[in-house]
Amino acid sequence: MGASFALALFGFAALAVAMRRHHADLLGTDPSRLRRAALRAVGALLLAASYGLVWHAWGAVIGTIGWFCLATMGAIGVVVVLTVAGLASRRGKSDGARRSRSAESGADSATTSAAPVREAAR
Amino acid sequence: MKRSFRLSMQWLHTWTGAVSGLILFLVFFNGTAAYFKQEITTWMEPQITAAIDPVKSVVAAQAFLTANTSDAEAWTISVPDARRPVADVSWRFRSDAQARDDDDGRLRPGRSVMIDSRGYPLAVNDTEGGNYFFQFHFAFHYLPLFVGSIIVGLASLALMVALTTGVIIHRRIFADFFTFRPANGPRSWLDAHTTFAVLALPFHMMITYTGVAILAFFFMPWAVFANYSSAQAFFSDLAPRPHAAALSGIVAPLVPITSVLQSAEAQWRGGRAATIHVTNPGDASATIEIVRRQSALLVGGRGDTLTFNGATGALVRGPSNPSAAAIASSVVFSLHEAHFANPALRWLLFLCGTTGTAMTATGSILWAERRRRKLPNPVGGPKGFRLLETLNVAIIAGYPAATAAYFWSNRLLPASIQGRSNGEILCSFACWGVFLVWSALRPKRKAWVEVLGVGSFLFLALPVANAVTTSRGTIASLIGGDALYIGFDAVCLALGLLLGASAVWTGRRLSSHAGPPVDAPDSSVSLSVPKGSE
Repeated sequence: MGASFALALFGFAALAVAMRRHHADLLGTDPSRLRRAALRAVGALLLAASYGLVWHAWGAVIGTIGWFCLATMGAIGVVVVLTVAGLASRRGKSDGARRSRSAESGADSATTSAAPVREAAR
Repeated sequence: MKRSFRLSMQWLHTWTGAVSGLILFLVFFNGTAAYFKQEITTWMEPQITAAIDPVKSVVAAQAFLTANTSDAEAWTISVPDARRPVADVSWRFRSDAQARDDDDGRLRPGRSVMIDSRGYPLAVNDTEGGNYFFQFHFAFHYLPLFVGSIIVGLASLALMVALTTGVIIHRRIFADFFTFRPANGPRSWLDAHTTFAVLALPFHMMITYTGVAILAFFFMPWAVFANYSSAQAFFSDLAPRPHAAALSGIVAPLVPITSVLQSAEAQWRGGRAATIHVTNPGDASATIEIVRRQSALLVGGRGDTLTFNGATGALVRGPSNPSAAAIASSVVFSLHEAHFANPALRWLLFLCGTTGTAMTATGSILWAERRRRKLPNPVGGPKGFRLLETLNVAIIAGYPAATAAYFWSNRLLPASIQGRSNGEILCSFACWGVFLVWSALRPKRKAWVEVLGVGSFLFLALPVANAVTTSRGTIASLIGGDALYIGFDAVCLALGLLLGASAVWTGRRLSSHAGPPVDAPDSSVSLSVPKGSE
């Protein structure tokens, strides 16, 4: 159970770091395409392993119910960690925070500006 | 077209949420507590101490029932387990047959006792215990069952709509999956609301759907009307109670129930018994019905009941083959009530329930915050808005505090007073009423701080009150490894700290409050901010 929760937590952490915004918040750099793909794969694998563990421990039915709860708690744990880390780094950088945030969102919209258009076209 | 669809969904989400939000807060809060219904009841009966041996307690229960109620029509013995370390015993006399029992199968006082392992009735507090939370979460305690269930059912339907539309209008559902932006006005409330909603969405969907399905007969009774002459006939088919056969008049002592219990548990290969129903004890027509406890099985309950001859101990009826509809109904009830849950899963479900509570609370606060921004003067506002704010304070901050008052009154009310269980509930509602009046009269932000502060104090001081009034304080239970008391104190501490932190945070905003915080120009009220997505 504990191990399964840890796997879910790290799995979601990997998925979060694979996103540009959180990568920039935590590590200060923009991740490469390969790196993002790798992080996503690792995250998915960890989540699958977490599911497998609960399945093994509690059986298919109860294990599935339990895993959804575990995964929820893991994802909320990641949100808490990211929020605390974001607050800490913002405090560290003092007024630099606002600048970096606007730069990051600029990079975000520059690289994926086509996305809403594509979505609307669908 | 797309834009207007999204906007209309936004409108639907806002209004279904606004109308049902505070009702659903109460449903989630009480429903979450009801996951630990048995544990709360046991905590509120501090005379119940160590776990007792199931077999010994069944022997003792049979001895007690034979000595005191041998002419009863039926006995019910609940077999103790880790959650409920005492044998609850109830009985029904033949003359009771016409007088209907309570809806949830409880018998009137004087017809049920708890048996300790020596066979003596335990003298415990008269308390509603955790059943209060269970009952409140679909019928609001003082409302008639039918009215309460209709209100909760409609609110649950609204929640289904709100969850679905919420997913539709949340355009950045994956991009903002892990995003929480603190200290950012309504944006932060929105982030919190979506975080609690999206991350626990499987749980919310499951609990809402099963909740609506359980209450479905209140909305769509026509299938019942078409097939049954009375509601009573339907309910007795839905949850069959052992039916006492006609007395044979031949005296035949009941076999030891434990021997029947053992053969049932042997047949289940490790399965445990939950409840034992005996009919016509002492007569040749006696039956002993053993109901299996749900553990690793989602489906079970009705299909897993064995019936034995009470005079010979022979198996009369094996497990029945329930119909597909019965299995489906059983799954729906099981998923909602989680009788199958082991302790770890129970805690997980409890935590998921708290996310639902948080989702409805943040949603209601978010709605009020946004409306405040539209007001010409952010202090005061029209009557309707003030009522909304008052209800927010009285329910979101006030109800948890009233719950703490319920536990306090359990520890402080003298054991001897008449109708003690109602007294506890009355204390809780009286406190709630005071909070309601208080939050109506005070400036709203101050009322938030004050009611949250009182709730925080009540929860933080509850372990102290427990330590003073019982011999099972935090230190003693930590030394003795008393999981129930440790867990209860821990939840009190967590709730107290949470409410206290909210009070401090609201107070800080109050002192540094010089007009509403400046917000991003995107008005941030629309979930569908067109921005780059991940």
